[in-house]
Amino acid sequence: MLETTHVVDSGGLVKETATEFSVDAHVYTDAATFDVEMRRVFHHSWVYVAHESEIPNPGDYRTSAVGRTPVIVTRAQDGDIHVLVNTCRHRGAMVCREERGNAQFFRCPYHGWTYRNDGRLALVPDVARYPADWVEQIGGLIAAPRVSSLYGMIFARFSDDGEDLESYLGAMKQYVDLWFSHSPSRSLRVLPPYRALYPGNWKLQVENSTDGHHARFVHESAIRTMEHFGTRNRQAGWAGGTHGFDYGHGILERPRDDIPPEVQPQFDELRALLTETYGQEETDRIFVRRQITLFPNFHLMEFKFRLVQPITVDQSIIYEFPVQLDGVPDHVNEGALRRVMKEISISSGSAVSGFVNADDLEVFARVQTGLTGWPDQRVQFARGLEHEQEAPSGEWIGEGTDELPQRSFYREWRRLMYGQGHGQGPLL
Amino acid sequence: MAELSVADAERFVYRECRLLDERRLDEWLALFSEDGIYWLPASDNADPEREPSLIYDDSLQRTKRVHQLLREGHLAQMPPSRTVHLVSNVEVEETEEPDTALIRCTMLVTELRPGDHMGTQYPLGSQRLLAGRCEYALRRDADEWLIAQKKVQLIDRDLPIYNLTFIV
Repeated sequence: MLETTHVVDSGGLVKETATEFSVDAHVYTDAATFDVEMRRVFHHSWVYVAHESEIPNPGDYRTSAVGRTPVIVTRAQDGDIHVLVNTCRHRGAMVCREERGNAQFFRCPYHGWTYRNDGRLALVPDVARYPADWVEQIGGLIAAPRVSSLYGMIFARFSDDGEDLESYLGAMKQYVDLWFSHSPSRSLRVLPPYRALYPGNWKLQVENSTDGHHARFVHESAIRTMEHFGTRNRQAGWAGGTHGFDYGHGILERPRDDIPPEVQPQFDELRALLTETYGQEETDRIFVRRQITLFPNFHLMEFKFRLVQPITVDQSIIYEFPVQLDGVPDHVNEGALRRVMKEISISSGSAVSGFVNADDLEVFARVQTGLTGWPDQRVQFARGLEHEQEAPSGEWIGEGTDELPQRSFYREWRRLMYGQGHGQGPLL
Repeated sequence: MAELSVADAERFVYRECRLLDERRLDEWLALFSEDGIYWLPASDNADPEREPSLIYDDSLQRTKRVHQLLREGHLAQMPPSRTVHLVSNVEVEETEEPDTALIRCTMLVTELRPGDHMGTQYPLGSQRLLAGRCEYALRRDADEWLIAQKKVQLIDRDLPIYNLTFIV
């Protein structure tokens, strides 16, 4: 990483006026800013850590992260879910090295401290040599004080203060409902993820996931290839829309105009099934392609979850979990999966080797080096700024290529980094 | 007719490597049978029809991939990767079916995307290694061996990787 000037606090990192919305380059390139946002943003938001279908049985666990904080997501013997910091309370060694598994206990390899899968200390070898009651005071692994689930998605929040998950989602909740309504029982399970690494800041992918303007440029070669082979089933019409929300969430809505012809029957069947379940009008609302950002780093995409994991200020990982809908025939899920895995659609394949998303990662690398080389740059998000419409539902609405979801993201990012509620000094 | 010898297997795989390193991808396509598969698994023992792979290309997907690479300006391959494919530990395994053969080998691919921009355009100019174990399931068609499946198990298959848009 190149050396950059440390700019952490000043109000100029995110600037908004009636005609300008811009973000300072250091927001993407400065290591000190990154360290601060890992605490102020990730520990004061509801962060997605796992899906319940990954830990269906008592004792199941998987490791995950909240920003740079490693956690173990466990299902205890009583079925309750816990999000535990994966760090021994004694000398700080990580207690769990497995990505997933089933265990009643986690034993630290260093001095044998052993924890139950709900985090409580079960055993400290040679406990009598510690001061009286000292072990009891320690209690167990640090647990995220607040854990909430929605449609099986497990979210953790490390701050005691602030809104609950429902208030945090606010007007976004109805769109999450619609997204999950692609299953008649509003439930699903996740498959093992695609993984991709890119040399850029984590926010570059988060911004891009709801960017409706870049496809015809970044994905020109994919679109032309699709057209060359006649595997695109484009219908003219609606150009999509954008939504912005309090607490940083956003949506890009698009028509499903690129369903490959060979899976069109499965999509028609899914639509018919949903019409039986919900009725025509509601199905018309459900059956829209929505790319949803749940602040700070989680997306509901076309039949997949996308999680963006920060590593360093200029290294990030993308995890994409294809989903399988409950309550639909297997061949419908196969059609959805085929769309995610194999087709040359905008959501095709893996970000590392796919026809489409790999080109996004190339652009992120270009932005990262561009901003590192010219730290005076301000990154511009003014597209559609003068046309944002506030709707009675408590959201803001724009056209499909507007940078509205990105502005919502940075309004919340600014609030958490140095806005109201954080006036008492650094939270580092 | 004699079955595939180790020397034949080496010749076959070396030629494929040369086509890839010289970016003669239309000729590379012709190495596959019509139902041939080019497969980079992302985990062990996963069903490629039901779980993600790094790449799982049938004939159409492979043809699209090459078309996008050579003719449409795939951004992630501008500039295109330079590669050197190094193959070793070549073995030929007996197969039950007539006119089929299985080659096992190890592969080390050195890759970089060129461009000297005085160090300002990472990852251009940055060289990396990909290591994997390969299996070529071959089928004889008239006098010619064709690839029914090329499978490359990268050692980092289940880890996040950057940019595999060139042909491994």
